[in-house]
This record gives sequence, C-alpha cells and structure tokens, in this order.
Amino acid sequence: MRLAGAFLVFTAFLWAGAAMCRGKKSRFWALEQLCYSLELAVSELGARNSPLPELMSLLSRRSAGAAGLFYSEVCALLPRLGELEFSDMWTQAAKECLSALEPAELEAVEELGFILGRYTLSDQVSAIKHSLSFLRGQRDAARENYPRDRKLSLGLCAALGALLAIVCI
Amino acid sequence: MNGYETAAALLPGRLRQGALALAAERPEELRLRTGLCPTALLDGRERGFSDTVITREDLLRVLESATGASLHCASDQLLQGYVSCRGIRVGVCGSAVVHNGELTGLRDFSSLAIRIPWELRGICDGVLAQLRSGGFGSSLIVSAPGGGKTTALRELIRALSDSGWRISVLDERRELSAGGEGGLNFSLGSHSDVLSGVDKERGTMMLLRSMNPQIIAMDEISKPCDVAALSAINGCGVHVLASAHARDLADLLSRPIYKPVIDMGIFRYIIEIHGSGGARRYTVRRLDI
Repeated sequence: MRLAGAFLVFTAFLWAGAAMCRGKKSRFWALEQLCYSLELAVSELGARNSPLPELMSLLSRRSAGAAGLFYSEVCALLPRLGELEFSDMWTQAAKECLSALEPAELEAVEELGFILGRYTLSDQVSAIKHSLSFLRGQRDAARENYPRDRKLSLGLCAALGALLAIVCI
Repeated sequence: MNGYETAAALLPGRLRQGALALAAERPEELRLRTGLCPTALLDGRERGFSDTVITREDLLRVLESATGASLHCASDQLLQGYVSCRGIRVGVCGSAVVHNGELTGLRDFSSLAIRIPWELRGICDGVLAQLRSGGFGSSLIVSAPGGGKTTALRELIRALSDSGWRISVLDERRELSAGGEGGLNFSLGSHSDVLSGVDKERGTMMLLRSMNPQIIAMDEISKPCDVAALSAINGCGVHVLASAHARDLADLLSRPIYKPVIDMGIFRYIIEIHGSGGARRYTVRRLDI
C-alpha cells in the first residue's frame, strides 16, 4: 500500500513537471506566432493600408495556435463594434486566448488595442514595431532558456517526488 | 436595417435609444458636439434627444464604428471633412493638421453630423410627369444644403431606370447606392449601372467609354473638375441627371462655378426643392423655352 502511495506521489510530481514544461512551450509558441503575425500586420498596414476587419481576418487565417485563436476571437467580436470599443474586444480576446503569456507580454499586446485603427498609419505601425521588439526579445529568451528550464522543471519535480516517495516508504 | 437605424447604430449605446425614439419623425441629421447634448435635425430645426453630454471619446467611438475601427483608411475622406459608412455620410469638425502649408489631417474632433439617407419612393412622381410631358432632357436638381437633393436624385434615377432608361450612376461618395458589404443598398432601378468611389472627371470618361449610357447621373456638382466632367458629357448625346447646391435658379446663375454650366446649355430642366422635411415642394423650370 505504501509502495503504491509512493509511486502515485512520484508520478504526480513528474506530471506536474511535465505540465510546467508544456506551459513554457505554449508560451514560446504563442510568442513565436504573435511575432510572426505582428510582422505580417506591419507589412499589411504599411503596404496595403488594410482596414482592421480585413487585417484581423487575414491574421486569423495565417497564424496558428493561440495567436490564430486570438485573431479569430477578435474577428468574432468585430460585429459588435459600436456596442463595444475595439480596444475592449482586443483586450477581451487577449485575456481569453493568450493566457500562456506572462503579464508583461500580455500587457504589451493589450496596449496595441488602444492604438490600432485609431491613430495615423505611421503611429500604428510604430506601436506594433515597439511591441514586436519587446515580444521578440521575450521569445528569444524563451527559446534560449527552454532546454535549461525543461531540464530544471523535470529534474526538480522528479527529485522532490522521489524524496517524498522515500519518506512515504 | 433602414438608413436611420443604421445611423443610430453608429451612436454609443447610451444615446442610441433616445435617437431611435425619434425614428417616426424622420430626422435628417443627428448632431454630436463635445460638451453639449446630442440633437436631431427635424424639419430644419435641431431638437435634443438625450440629456447625456457628449465627450470626445463618444465622437471617437462613432468614428470607430463608422470606419470599422480603421480610421487610417478614411484619411482621404477626413481631409474633405467627412467619413462615408454604408451610405451614410458623417461630417467631421476638429482641428486641422497642417504641414508645410498643406492640410494633412484632422484631430481633436469636436463635432459630428450624421446625415440620414432616406429612400422615399414616389416623391418625384409629379416631377417625372413634368419631365416626360416636355420631352425628357438633362436635369439639374438644386436646393440649399440638406434640402433633399440626394434623396430626390436617387428616386428619379430609380423611376427612370425602371421605366427603361439605361442609366450609369457615378456615385463618388457611395451615398446614392449605399452599396458594398453591409451597405443599405438602395434600389437604383433595373437598368442602372453603378460606378462608385471614383471622381466625376475620371468616372465620366470610364462610363462613356465602357457602359454606353443613355443617362449619366451624379450627385453634387461643386468643383471645377465636376464642371469639366459635365462638358465631357455634353455633345455625346448622353443626358445628365445631377444635383448642385443653390436655393433656386437665380441663386444658381449668380454663382461663378455654375454659370458656365447653364451657358453651355447642358441642362433642359432645373428642379428646385423648397421647404424641408415632409413639406418639400418640387418646382420644375424649363430652360430652353
């Protein structure tokens, strides 16, 4: 019975470690896709002066994962323009779909909602570039640290699980 | 949604109900000014429809709705003092941004005038009968601003088109047809072809070359290049249906921009609109007798 309990404790800690790794991976992928989509947004706005509904639709089709879901959510909310402000829709969608991001990253995305569609094209493009530069830095750091973080999370959880399992036995 | 409901939908939620309550009275415009309560233009007079004081955020919100959250796409229109949305024209006032002596934009918006397009079938039946009895010819609709020129022009186009005339409509500001995605899509008759978003000078040449029209219709002749477009049509055997800002024929002739148009003999009829709201009167004057 004790052996079974110890096994369960060890497995639970291992599972927690794996979940932490998955979270870090999701964050990295969300950042990767967001950076790609914001680069696309800069080109679309700069070169084609695209209206936001068209831009959001394009980004929802061209981005994968959490970023794709985020733009799809914005598209789904757009018919409520007038009832809701664009910035509210953007923030609501970001909170729902980009939960894998860290608070500072989410804030950088949310800030764009107050500028997109409201100011001159050059103001919008520079705001996107500013957020993009921050998110790229975060993505590169996440990419670089991921192997180390994965080992650390799994190792720590396994060690802690093993320790508790030994105590149980 | 009709034109009025579409216009009211542009308003922030707290103003919408008050505006919708006036629908039966057919307001011509909804006007929003920062620091003041919103009003509706009814029979030439403004009447308040809410006690809420308008803020600059409210104006931004209306413009956000009108441009589909894409104010940057409407910058050319903004330079002309309006934003066009689903056939509704939103007039804009604010501070001009000037760079090197050139107007480059508007900011610090202070007032909006949302003009309501109405589709009023049958209002020009009497006019049409007079035009037909004298032998149809090019006609110019004149009235003071907000006098119902566009509504009358739209109705004349529809009625003439349904009676078999092949009409090419040059809808520069998309107010006549209100076409496009989510637009009001007013009926312009069964024999009408609409070219929208192009200036009159270029659009006229495109239509003459490609659509073999019997009539070319256009709203608001107001610039020298619009007069140039009329000159291009003159002599091609194509009739013109157009509108211009002037109280009546005498007022029209007193304006330097319109005098050459009349002197060229393009128009056979001048249709004057007097009065406002439901009490509009239409007077047809024949020029060539």
